[in-house]
Amino acid sequence: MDLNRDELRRHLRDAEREQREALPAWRDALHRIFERPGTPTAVKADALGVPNRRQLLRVGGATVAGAAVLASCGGGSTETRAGESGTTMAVDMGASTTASTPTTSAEEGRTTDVSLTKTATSLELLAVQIYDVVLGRSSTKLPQDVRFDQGVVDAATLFRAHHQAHAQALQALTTTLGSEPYDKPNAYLFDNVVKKALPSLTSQDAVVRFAYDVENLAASTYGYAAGVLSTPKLRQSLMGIGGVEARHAAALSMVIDATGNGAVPRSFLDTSGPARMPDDALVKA
Amino acid sequence: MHIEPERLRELTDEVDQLHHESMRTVQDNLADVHFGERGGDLRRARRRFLKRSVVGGAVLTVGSTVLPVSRLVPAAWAQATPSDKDIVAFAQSVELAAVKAYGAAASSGKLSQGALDVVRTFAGHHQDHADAFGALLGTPDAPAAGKANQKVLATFTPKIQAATDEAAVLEVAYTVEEAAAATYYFALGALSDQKTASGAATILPVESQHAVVLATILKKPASDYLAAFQTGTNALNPDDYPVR
Repeated sequence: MDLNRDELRRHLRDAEREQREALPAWRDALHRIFERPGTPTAVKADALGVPNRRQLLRVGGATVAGAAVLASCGGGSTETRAGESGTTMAVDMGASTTASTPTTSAEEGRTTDVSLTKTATSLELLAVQIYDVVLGRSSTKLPQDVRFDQGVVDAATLFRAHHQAHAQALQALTTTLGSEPYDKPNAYLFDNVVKKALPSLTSQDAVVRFAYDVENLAASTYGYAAGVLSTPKLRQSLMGIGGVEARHAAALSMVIDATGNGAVPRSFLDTSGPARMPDDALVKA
Repeated sequence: MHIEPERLRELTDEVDQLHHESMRTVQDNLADVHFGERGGDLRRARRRFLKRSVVGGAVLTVGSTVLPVSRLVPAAWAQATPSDKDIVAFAQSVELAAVKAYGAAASSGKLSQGALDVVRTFAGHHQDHADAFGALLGTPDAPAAGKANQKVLATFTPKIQAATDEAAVLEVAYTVEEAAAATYYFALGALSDQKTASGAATILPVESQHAVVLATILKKPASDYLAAFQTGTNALNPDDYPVR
């Protein structure tokens, strides 16, 4: 099984197009939501997929031009690239009484599945690597000694164990899909996000915020993958992990702000381009 | 968040043990599911999967957590094959019940301003979810469409009304959120339509985060709300909580 990056992007674009086609129905749904007094304009714009932010991924102060990748594949304007309908809950109930109607062949679907499980594995192993740095278990060091509260150390230890377990589950999943398990941390994110953020991680607050961003990135990536994966069981398996990443993010948010007011900032998980892993970070099938 | 050292060791050991156990069975279980469905009739496969899961007393791998299927699959979901529309209608009824439960919590007089802010925010999220499902369902074709799940309300509202303090009120809300997250987890394995599943996947994490916030406020032990994998344990069963 092999799939080059352009093919993979094409599959992902197809998935995005299907979501966009369902957008009118979603807008009808949101219309009622938006009638509610007090909804901030920015939230409304974001929920509708209106690009109110630049197509950039921001993690811990590092910035990655992520969604520009698809444009480089040719075709499609910026407005039609992956991710801009990511916050939509695009559903076609007319298809509910029949099987899914993927636009890709079974083989293409399986190849995309493999790419996504490998990418998820790389993301989990990166998270393990990051928590190792935080816990002082890595050759990569924080720029200076940071004194952490015991609660933060406990959380980092537990979350690291979760990510390790996720990686192993995903590796097993990759094997069942007929491919070799992936066993490396995501190199693109390490080079473009972690390395760039490292110099700024000089306090507990900075480290916790960075970890929070990473967990949110992971949750959004899983949420996005759930709209692309080809079988219910795969979608369920990955969201069994993605939901936990979201929990990690919320727990870290409570360290930053114990009131909980900012812990769940929106009604729906943001899976848009800027929120999730950039396409350059995808691992080939 | 603080975890006692001994408990932390137990938690990490538990995670380690779970994925070691899962490595023994995950390939067989998942291959059976995935390769059987590929390119075929997902609904037929789903029916087969659910039937086999219950009748055979199978062991299902959830993430890397190996659990008996009987613990995860609500009985009614296993015995029948709900359509995507059934699932969406059920989800909407649960969301609307959550809105009402939070309304009861907000008006209980037991909440501090901080808790009240959280409760109102979460109620708004649930209303958004319900509205989205309502739009997907289109014109209601059943009298119960668009209404709160009465059985869910009957289960949880009296507990809120009987709560004597803020913690007791929030405990009920926490239970509702964990049940909702588990229900979406199960729904993701049952929804055949990719786009419908995509929508559910944007809600499950939000319910999960609600649970974390409430658990943190309640000072629950991390092991209660930070497991390695989301499962369907405690998912609401449509047979026990019918849409009507």
